[in-house]
Amino acid sequence: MKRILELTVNGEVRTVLTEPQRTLLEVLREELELTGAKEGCNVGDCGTCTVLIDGEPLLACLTLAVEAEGREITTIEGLAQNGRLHPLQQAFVDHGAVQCGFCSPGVILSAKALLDANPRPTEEEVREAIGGNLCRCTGYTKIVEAVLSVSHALNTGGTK
Amino acid sequence: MRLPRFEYLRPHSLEEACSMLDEHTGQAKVMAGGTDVLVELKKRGGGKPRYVVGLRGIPGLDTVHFDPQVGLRVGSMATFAKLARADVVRKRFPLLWEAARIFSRPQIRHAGTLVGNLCNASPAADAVPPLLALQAKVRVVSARGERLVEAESFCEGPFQTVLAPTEIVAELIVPAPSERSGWSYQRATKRTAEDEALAVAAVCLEFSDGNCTVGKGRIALASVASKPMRARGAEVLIQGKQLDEDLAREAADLAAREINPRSRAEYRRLMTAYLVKKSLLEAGSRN
Amino acid sequence: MTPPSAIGSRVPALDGVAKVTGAAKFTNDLSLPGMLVGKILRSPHPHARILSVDTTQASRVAGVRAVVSGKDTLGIKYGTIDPFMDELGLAVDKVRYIGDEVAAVAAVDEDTALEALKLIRVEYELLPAVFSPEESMQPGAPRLHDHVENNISGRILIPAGDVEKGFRESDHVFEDTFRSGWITHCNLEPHVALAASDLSGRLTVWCNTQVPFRFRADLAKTLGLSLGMVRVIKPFMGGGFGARWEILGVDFCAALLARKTGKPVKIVYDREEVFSASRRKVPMTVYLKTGVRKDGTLVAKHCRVLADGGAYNGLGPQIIASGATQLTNLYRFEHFRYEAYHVYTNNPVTSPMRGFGNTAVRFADDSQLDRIARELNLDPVEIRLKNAVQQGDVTLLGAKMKSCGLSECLEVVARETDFHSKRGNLGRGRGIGIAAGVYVSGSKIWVPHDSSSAFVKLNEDGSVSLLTGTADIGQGSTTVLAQLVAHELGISPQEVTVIAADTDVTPFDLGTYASRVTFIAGNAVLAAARDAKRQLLEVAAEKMKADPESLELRDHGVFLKGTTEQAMLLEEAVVAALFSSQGIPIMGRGSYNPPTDYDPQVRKGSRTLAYAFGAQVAEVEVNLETGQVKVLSLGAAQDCGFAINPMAVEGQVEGGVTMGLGQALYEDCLMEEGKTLNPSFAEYKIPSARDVPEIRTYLVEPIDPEGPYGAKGIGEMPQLPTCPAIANAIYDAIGVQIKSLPITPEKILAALKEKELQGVSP
Repeated sequence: MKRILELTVNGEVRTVLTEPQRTLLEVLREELELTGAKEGCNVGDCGTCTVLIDGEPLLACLTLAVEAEGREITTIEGLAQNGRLHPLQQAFVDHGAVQCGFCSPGVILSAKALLDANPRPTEEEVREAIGGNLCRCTGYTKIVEAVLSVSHALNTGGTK
Repeated sequence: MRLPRFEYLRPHSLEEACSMLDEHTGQAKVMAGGTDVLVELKKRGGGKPRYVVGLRGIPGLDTVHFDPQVGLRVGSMATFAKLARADVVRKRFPLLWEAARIFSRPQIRHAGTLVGNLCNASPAADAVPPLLALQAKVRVVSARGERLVEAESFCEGPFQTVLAPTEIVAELIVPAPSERSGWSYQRATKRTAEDEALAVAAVCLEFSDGNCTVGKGRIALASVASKPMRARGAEVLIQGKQLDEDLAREAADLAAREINPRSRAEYRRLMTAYLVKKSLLEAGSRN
Repeated sequence: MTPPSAIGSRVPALDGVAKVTGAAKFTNDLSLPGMLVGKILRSPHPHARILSVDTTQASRVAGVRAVVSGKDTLGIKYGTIDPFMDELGLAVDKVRYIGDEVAAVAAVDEDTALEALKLIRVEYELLPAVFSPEESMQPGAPRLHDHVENNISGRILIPAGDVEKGFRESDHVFEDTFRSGWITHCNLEPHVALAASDLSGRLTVWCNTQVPFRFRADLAKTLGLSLGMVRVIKPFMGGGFGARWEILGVDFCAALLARKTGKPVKIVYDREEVFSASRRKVPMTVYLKTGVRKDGTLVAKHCRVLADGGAYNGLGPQIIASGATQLTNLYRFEHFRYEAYHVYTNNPVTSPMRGFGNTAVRFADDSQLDRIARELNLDPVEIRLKNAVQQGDVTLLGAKMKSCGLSECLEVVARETDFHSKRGNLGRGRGIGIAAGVYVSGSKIWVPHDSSSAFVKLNEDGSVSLLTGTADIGQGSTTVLAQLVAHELGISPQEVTVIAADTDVTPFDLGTYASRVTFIAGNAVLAAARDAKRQLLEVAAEKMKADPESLELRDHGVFLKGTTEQAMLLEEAVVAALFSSQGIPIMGRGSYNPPTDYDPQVRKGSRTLAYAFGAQVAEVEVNLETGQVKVLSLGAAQDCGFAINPMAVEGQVEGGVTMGLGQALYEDCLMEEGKTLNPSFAEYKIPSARDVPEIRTYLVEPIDPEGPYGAKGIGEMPQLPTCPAIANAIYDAIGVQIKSLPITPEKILAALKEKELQGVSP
C-alpha cells in the first residue's frame, strides 16, 4: 500500500508517494529524478549507489526509502554549492580521476565521508574508505591521488 | 531484481515488535540494518514475507554501553561503525573492536549490525567468532518473556538460528575478558582484499601468569564449517601450558582437523592452521 | 603570456564536471513519456530445440503491452562477416547456451513484466551439450550449428618460413601449454537500451554502444528496416572494453518491442544477466613451442591456440587470429607457424574484450621467455632487448614498425623499478618480473576501410563544434579529439563542444575498438580541423587583403605570422563568411582511412599503421605457507607515440594494468555444465582499491610518422604485459612457473609441493 514519505534530500524536503518495498535508490532515481546515484548491481556489491545519510556512506539500493525519513540524505547532486564544485569534485576532474564516470558519484561521496571524519587520511585509509566502490576504468590510482590532494589542501596552513 | 511487495511495520518498542511477530507469525521478517535481509529478499525472495518489521524506530536499541555488572551491552541496532567508534569497545573489548573495525566495506559497516550478522547465521559470519571467543550471551525477547542464549548455541546451521518466529534479539551481553588476557582476530579472504572470508579466527586467551601460561583459552572460527564454531580440542590442548611456537603450531594443526568445510576443504584446513597459529601467538604477545 | 598548448597537456576531461556532479545522463538515466519496461526470457538449458513458445497467458496479464518470441522476428542472422553470421536476436528453433534469448515482454512496470515472463510457456527438447573445445571437437559430439562440422567455426593457419628447420637449427627447444581463465568485462554500467518508434515507424535507440553505426546497421538488418529508418545515439557510457561491440538481446528486443507497442521500451540487464548471459573474453589454451640459440636469440615459434567460442561466433573467429601478430610484432625470430581453432561450445558467447585475443598469447609468450632466460642463465631484460623489434623492422608477417619504443620501454621500466638490483636480492618469497607487449592502433583486415570521419563547425560567435561518430566509452576520446581541434584553431579545448555518436548527426565512424580512436579518429578530426582552418584563413585573407599562407590562428584570433598584433578575432572571420553576400558557413570536413597493406588471403602485411609497445615490471610477495600473493608495486613504461593528453594516457595505463592484475590473480567465471556459478560482484572479484598497489607510469614518446602529431592508440596495450609480469614475478619468488590463470594460492602451493617432491631446492 502506498504511503506518503517526506525525505530530506540535499537540504530540501521532498514528498513522494511510494510503496514500502521501494528502495531509496529507486525513489531517488525514479521519483525524484536524481539519477546521480547509479544502479550497478542493485544488491550492494558495487558501491555505485552510495549516498550519504547523516554524513555516513550507505548503499541506497539496500536502504528502504521508508527508513530514510527523518534523516539527512546527500546525493552527488547536493555536493556543489552555489554553482561551485566541492573540492573533491574539482580534484577528481583535475587529476584525471574520472573516466567513464559511472562510479564517480559513489566514490566521491565515500571520499567525502572519509575526509569529513578524518581530514588527514593515509593512503591506506583512503583505499580502505573507497574499498566498497568498484571501478573498472581507472585502476584507482588517480582517485587516490585526487582524495589525498584535497586532504593536503585542507591541511596546509593548519596548526595540527 | 527488485524487492518483492511487503508491508513495512515500524514498532516503537520491543514489546510492540514482539506483539507484531505474534500477530503475523510466520509472515513477518525482522530487519535491523537490512544488509542481509534486503539482499536475501532481492535474490531469493526470502520466503516472500508479507511484513517486514523494521527495528530502526525503537529508541535506545542502538546503544553500546558497558555495564559493570554484566559486561558490554550491544543493542540489536548498533552498527559496526558505532562499535568501532566506541572507546569502551576499543579499550576493553579489542577483539570485538577489531572485527567491527574491519568488517566488510565502509557502506556495510554503517548500515549492518552485529546482532544482524549473528541472526543471519551465515557460516562465514565474520563478526561471530569474537562473540564465541568472548562467551557472549544473547538476550532474546518475545511476548512471553525473555531468555538468555549462549552465542555459541545461537546458530544451528547455515542461516538457521534458535530464534522462534515470535522472538527478537534485544541485545548482546559480552562479559569483559579477564585482566590478564590476550586476543587476536585473523581473517583470510577468498580472493581479493575486499571479499568474503575464507577463514576467520578469533582468539581470547586468559593467562595465569606473565609467562604465557594459558589458563583458559577460546579459539573461535568461522567460514570453516556449517556454522561458526569453537576449536575445543585445540583449546584443551593449550590449557595449563606455556604458549610457545611449538604449542601454537600443534594446537593450530589440531584445530584444522576439527573443522568441517564444505568447499576448498584442503585449502581451508591449511588456512585454519595458519590463522590459528598466528592468532595464538599474537594473543600471547598481547599478554 | 602564451597559453599552454592544447596538445601535450594534461587537460582535464571536458565532460568531467558533468560526471562528478551527477548531471551526466547514462542510458538508464533517461526516460520518455509512456515508457515501458522490457524483460527477456532466457533459455535455462545449454542446448535444446524449441518445440513451441506459448505467450497467450503472458499477454493477458494486466499491464503487459507486448510479448514477442522468435516467430515475431524475421529470423535474420547477424554477425561480423558472411561465413560467421550465426546469431539471431531471438532464438527461433534452437537455444545453444544457458541465457540464450527466447522471448521478451514489454509492460508498464518491472513487476508486471517479470510476472508475464513467468507465464510464457516454452517447450524444449533437450539435446546433449558440450562444455569444452576438446569435448566439442570430438567426432560424434553434438553439432551446435548445422553448417559447421566438428563445431570448429573458425580456423587459422599461418606459416612463415620453415618452423621445423628452425627448431633443428636451435640449440634449445621449449614447449609449454598455458591457459587463460573465463574473464568478463564487468563494466560498472549494466547493458541497457532504450528504443522508441515514432509514428512514421522511425526507430531511435539510445544505448551504451561502442559502435553506433554498426548497431544501426545490425538493428536495421535484423528488423528489416532501411538504414535511414534507424537512429542510434550513445549517451554517457559506463565502460566498454568490448562488451558493447555487437548488438545483443537487450538492443534487439528493446527495438522490436518498441516497434510492436508503439511506445518507448527500456531494457536493462540486471547484474546477474550481465555476468551470466552476456559476452565473455575468449578463454584460450595456448600451446607454444620456441626454438632458441644458446645466446638467447629466438629462432622459431610454433603456436597453437584452442579457443572456447561459446555458443555463437560473435567476433571469435577474428579474435583467434590476433595471436599470430602478437607473437611476431614484439620479438624477432625467423620461422613461424600459427594455428588457431575457434570451437563452438554450449557455454556463453565469447567475443571481444580488451586485448582481442592478444592477452592469453602474450601471457604464454612472455612467461615462456622468462623460463627460457632462466634455463639458459640469461638476464630477462637482456633477452628481451636482444630480440626486441625495432623501428624500421618489417616483421615476419609483414607488419611495418614505423615507430617503436619497445627497447626504450624495457630499459626505462627496468631502471625505474630497480629491476636488476632487486632481482635475486629480495629475500625469500619475494620476486620481481618483467614482460612486454604490443598492440595495434586500429585494425583493417576483412574490409577495405577502417575509417573515421569528422565535421568541425564554426559557430557565429567563434565557438567550435566537433561532430564525430566516435564513441567515448570513458577513455576520454572526447577530450583528446577536442584538443586536436583546439590546437589547429588556436583556441582552448574547453571551447570545443563535442557532439558525438549519433548516427543521424555525426559523420560515419566505425567506432571505438582496436585502440583505433586516437590514431584514426584523431587523424580524421585533424583533417576536418585543418579544412575548417583553411576556409577560415581564406576568408580572413580576403578581408585583410593578405596571402592566406601568411596567416595563422592562435589565441582565438587571426594573426599575421611573426606578429603579435591580432588582426581579427576568430568570430569576425566566421561572421565575415556567414553574413557575406555568399553566406557560407565555415564547416571543415575530414576523414581518414589508414593506407594499410594487409592481404587477408595470405594474412600478411600491416593491418594498422602504428603499433604501440610497452613493458611492465611487477614486484610481488608470496606467502609461502598460504600461497597468497601480494602485488607490491607495478611499473609500466608505455610507448604512446606523442601523448596528446599525458594524463589520459596514464589513466588508460593504470586501468589496463589493474584489469591485467585482476586476470592474473582473481578473475574467473566458474562454470558448471554451461551454468555460471558466480554471477555477481560478490563472487567474481575484480580488484578493489585495496588490491591495487602503487602503479607508476612512464611515458615513452617515439613520434609516429602517421599518427596525429605522432600519437598512437593505447587503450588496450597496457593490459597485455601485466599477467606475464606478475606471473614472472611469482616465478622469480617461488622458482616454479604457473601456466594457468588466474594464479590462485592453491596453484602456488601445489606447484611448491611438486617442486619439493622433485627435490629441487627453492
